[in-house]
Amino acid sequence: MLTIIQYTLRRSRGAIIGWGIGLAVLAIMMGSLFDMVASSGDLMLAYVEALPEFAELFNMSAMSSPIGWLDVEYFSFVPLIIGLFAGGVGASLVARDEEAGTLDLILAHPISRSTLFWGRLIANTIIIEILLIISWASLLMTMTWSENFTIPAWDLILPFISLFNILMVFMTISLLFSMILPGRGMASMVTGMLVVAGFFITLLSGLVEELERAADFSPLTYLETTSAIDNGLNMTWFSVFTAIYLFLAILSWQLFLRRDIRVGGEGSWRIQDIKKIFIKA
Amino acid sequence: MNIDKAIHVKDLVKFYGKTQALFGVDLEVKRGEVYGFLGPNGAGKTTTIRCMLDLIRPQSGSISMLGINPQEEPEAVKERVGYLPGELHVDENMTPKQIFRYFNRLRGNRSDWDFIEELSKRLKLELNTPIKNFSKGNKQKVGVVQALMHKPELLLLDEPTGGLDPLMQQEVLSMLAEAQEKGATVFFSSHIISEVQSVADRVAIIRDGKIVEVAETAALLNRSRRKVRIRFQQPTKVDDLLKLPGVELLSEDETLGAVMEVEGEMDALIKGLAKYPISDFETERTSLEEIFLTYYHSKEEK
Repeated sequence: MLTIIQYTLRRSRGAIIGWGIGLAVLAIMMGSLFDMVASSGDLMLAYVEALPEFAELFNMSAMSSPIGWLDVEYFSFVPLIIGLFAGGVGASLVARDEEAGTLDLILAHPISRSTLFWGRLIANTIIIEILLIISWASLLMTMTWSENFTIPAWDLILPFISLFNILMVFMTISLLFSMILPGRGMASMVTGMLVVAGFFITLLSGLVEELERAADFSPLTYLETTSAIDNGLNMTWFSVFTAIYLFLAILSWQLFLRRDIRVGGEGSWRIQDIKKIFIKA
Repeated sequence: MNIDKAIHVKDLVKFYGKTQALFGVDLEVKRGEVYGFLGPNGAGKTTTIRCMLDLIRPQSGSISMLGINPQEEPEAVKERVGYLPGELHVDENMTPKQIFRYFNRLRGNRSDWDFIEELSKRLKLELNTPIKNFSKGNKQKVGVVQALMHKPELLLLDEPTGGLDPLMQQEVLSMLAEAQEKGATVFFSSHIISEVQSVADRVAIIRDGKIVEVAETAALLNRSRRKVRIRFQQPTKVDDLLKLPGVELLSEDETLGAVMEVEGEMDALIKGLAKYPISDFETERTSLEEIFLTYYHSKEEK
């Protein structure tokens, strides 16, 4: 399994470097901007009073504190960006090699499908963790030169732990889709649509009453930022999300164990394969 | 499970959706033999081989590889098998050296690196060039080396010489012969009849997902029809010869020649010709290719 993990990480180093640099720049930029926001508190207050609905939509009244600023300007859309990445990673876990035709030869070696599946899932989990750690570390780094942007390191890690759980759900949803939809492109696209829809539903649910119910089904609604720092992580939701992504991963794994490996290219719909899990081969 | 057979496939049936690809395929490959698996594209060769490695699952039938059921213990089978897929796809950003190192690690570092270098040298394979810069033939060489590098007991090769130039084809066939000398069993599919004819001890012909012939290569060639060209010293009526069993007139020129086809033993024809004055006599054995084609022509006739 170690070989699979190392190979997957090695193959993904370009993505890690590219996304890592992008997320680091974003975090540093957001952290650095806080000094400017802090020094123009009166202006912000006037802005909130002038555009109350807009201010409510983006929770602008909280922007005077570092974590409130991050909540509004960073954690509002970074989950969307990394969520799309996680969806792409999940869809590619097995389907990328299958569509490229390389899975055939890999599985002709004495490694089990389970080893390959879990090895890659662990590697992709590590990739997401690396990106989150880069983001967290970049925000911490910003604190070394910022006068006002200070959050204890441990406090700052809690929103990222909450985000990690949600990203794992996106990754495993996409993984499951890649097992039952014809190709990874479609799996990635459907997951992306769910992530984007979830983002807007969560964002607008504070304003549009009709969306409140729908927001309950959006994982992004359960992202804990200021609440995690103030009250600690909600372990109930943390456990629920952990259970959801483990369930999705196990379901995908069972489907992978029973599927015919394609020689290459996209396949066909495999929703019917789910019943194979419950029927002894 | 039959442990004295390298491969024992019984009544293998495989569907892709509603399309049936294999209709009860039976195969028995003895340990240590080179076994040719002939058939045109789409006949079921690749499907059969992929079932043997548990890459795809048949709907019914049984498979034993080196005495092991690949559906129950796929890793145990793959440990002892070298596989070359019909269409080789590897991570093309890697060099052959990196690919071999990766595959070697997947096999628990069992391969001898000197042997890998020796195989690469024989095939004139550049080990440090990214595979994306390779021609189809050079990519095929990567596939051949990775299949042989751990000295497997059983080689499953799907079109092993595809894309190679004639010299390299010969080199690969020599490697297979050497593997056999060292005790390996070689099962290879091909639609290039000449290479099967040159190295295979036995041949199976698959047509539309069914095995239509299994025979020793030599026996298959011997029992096939021969073309006989006869040149007489004077104009001759050959009617008597045509009454002999298995003899058929293909053409006759008005001067001195006749071309006949003889099925089975030549004894009766030679004895029959003894009473005629003959200036030249030539026989031409049917190639495996022609035998192979007869199975396809017979289908069309049906």
